Amino acid sequence: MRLIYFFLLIIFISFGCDPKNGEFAPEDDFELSAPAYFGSFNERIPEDNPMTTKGFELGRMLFYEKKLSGDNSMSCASCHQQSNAFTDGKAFSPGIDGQVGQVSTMSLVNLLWAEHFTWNGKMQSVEDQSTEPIRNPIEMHENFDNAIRKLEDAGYNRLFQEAFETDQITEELIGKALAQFQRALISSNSKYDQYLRGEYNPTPSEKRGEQLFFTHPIPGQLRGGNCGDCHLGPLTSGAIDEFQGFHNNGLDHDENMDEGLMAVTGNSTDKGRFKTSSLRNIALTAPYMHDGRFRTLEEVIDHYDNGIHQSSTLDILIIEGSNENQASGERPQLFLSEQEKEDILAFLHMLTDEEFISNSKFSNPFENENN
Amino acid sequence: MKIIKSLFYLLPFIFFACQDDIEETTTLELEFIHKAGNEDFEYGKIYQNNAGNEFSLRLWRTYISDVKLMKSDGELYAVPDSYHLIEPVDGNKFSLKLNQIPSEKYKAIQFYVGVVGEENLSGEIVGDLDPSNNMAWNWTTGYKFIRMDGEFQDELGNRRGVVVHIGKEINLKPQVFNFQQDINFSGQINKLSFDLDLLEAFQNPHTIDFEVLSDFQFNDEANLIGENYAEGFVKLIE
Ligand code: HEC
Ligand code: HEC
Repeated sequence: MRLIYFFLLIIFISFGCDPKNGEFAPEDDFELSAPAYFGSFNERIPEDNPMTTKGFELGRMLFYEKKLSGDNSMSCASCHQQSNAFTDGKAFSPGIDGQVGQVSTMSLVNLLWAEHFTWNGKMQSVEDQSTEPIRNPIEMHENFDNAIRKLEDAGYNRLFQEAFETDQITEELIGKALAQFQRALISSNSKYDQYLRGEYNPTPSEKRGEQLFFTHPIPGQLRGGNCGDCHLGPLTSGAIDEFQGFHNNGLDHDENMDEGLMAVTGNSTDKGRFKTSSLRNIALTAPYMHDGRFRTLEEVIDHYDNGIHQSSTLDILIIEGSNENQASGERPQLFLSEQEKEDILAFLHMLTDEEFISNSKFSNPFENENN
Repeated sequence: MKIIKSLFYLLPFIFFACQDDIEETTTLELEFIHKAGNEDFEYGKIYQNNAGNEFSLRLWRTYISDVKLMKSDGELYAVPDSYHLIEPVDGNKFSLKLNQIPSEKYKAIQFYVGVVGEENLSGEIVGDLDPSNNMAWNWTTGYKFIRMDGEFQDELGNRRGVVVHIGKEINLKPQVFNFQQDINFSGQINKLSFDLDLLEAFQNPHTIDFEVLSDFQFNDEANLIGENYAEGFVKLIE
């Protein structure tokens, strides 16, 4: 009997010392999970928009909600289609009025590991970028008063109440819910991930492709494809801090180059710098680059191998990245063999994540209705 | 009655159980001041190295790890989870705080330039080791110790890169700084300041001429930079 008291006491003592035991997590806390090799992420979730199950579910409905467009014909998912890793297979996507934009739809994947959004980095948060397309005249072309009225008529107030403890639908809350849904779009079950977890045995070509992808070439010493200099680590996306992940990857020369990051910073040394895309599910997101100029991954690899255009802002990681010694001022080339190009291609195909594109948690919640 | 009695014996135990700061501790701030020779370092500003090349940087990051403090009796105190990523964020300065340092007299501080004992990215995130921080190489080769991305104009007037991405165990360089006299770390906060001198990466003992070589990543020449930063790159200023 005495022993029991003693144990109770010990339990009591040990709880008393650990402040964490006092705080109880909200019941509906949404669990995000990602491999450790993606890097830390909990601190990247904005404090004023924590992930909750209700918020995620509401965001998912809004993402597929055509009432958010001017003529009820288009939702985010019209351009960001799950089966194409949230792209639409087009170089330029028409909005509800048939007008097209000047850049290609971006894949929505692993957005937690980014702090600047869109091709030129003009948006600082997923929240901001989530309400812009609704208003944008060449995209969903709707004003928020109308959109909110339509959501109210469709009974959304209750869902906002559950997610945000207010039944007042606002533009801000629409952005927050959409952002919660999109932050949960984590792709981490590709063949490459399975290989990193020791569950998949890569083919010799895939293995060589991985090596080439991540190796910076040193003439005479190391052969490499140089991709990992910009498409970093297992995420294969650009650096997160400031605009370090924005590069000019040699698509054009000074005269015909798109502005890119310069449109945001006003700095001429930023001309032609664009956001380094994640290459997750890249085999599903053709056509490629901000203007969708390449139809296939073969064309992309040929571009880096032998199609670089020189300019005053061409990235130094491309200037200093060749498998052969090049003379000063010569147009940078990789000098990859046909086999090496095939190997890199094989690696890029390893990044396809079937579970991500078929995960029913991310799919259209209205599928069975005639929406 | 017996229960009460046993509770009584337990009382001092309970009391002390929650007091983990019986030993007095303090905070040590380490400040790193990025320099290029005598000048304060700035991104985008042009500096001249020992070989006469004029160059600028757009990124400069340095890992230090395994910080240890030597008490005046020679005993070492090891800072736990000690991986620190240093970069010029606050002007040319960077400051990090080490908490829970035993309040004592110390005679030296030591650490490594580089990342001790982390060969790949599979491990848990400790200290500033984070695979998403632009210092990771790839799965099997772990972290870059020093990263400098920059450019220079060569003799022919062409833009060329200065790319210094150094890692590998051979380039892990121990740094030991003996204090001129023992320092008593106590009270709220104590501070040590260090200079990091960019130019020292390219000189002493090996003068690096970018016209000849300006790309250091995993090649044999990367080890020359390692030998350069082994000494004189980090300086304790007292
Ligand atoms: C008409 C097609 C279209 C529609 C509809 C559309 N988008 Fe996009 N989305 C794009 C394009 C094009 C880009 C690239 C924009 C740019 O670079 O300026 C983009 C970029 C984004 C990005 C940035 C991704 C990144 O990695 O930087 C996010 C987030 C996004 N869209 C979310 C949404 C949401 C949420 C909706 C619905 C409210 C939506 N989009 C509707 C075409 C569309
Ligand atoms: C200097 C940095 C850099 C290097 C090196 C680099 N990339 Fe890129 N990559 C980028 C940037 C920036 C973009 C987006 C450019 C744009 O659209 O204007 C991009 C885009 C891509 C795209 C298209 C992505 C999309 O969503 O349309 C693919 C595919 C790609 N890169 C593959 C590679 C491969 C393979 C290699 C190595 C052979 C490589 N990259 C090397 C910076 C780089």
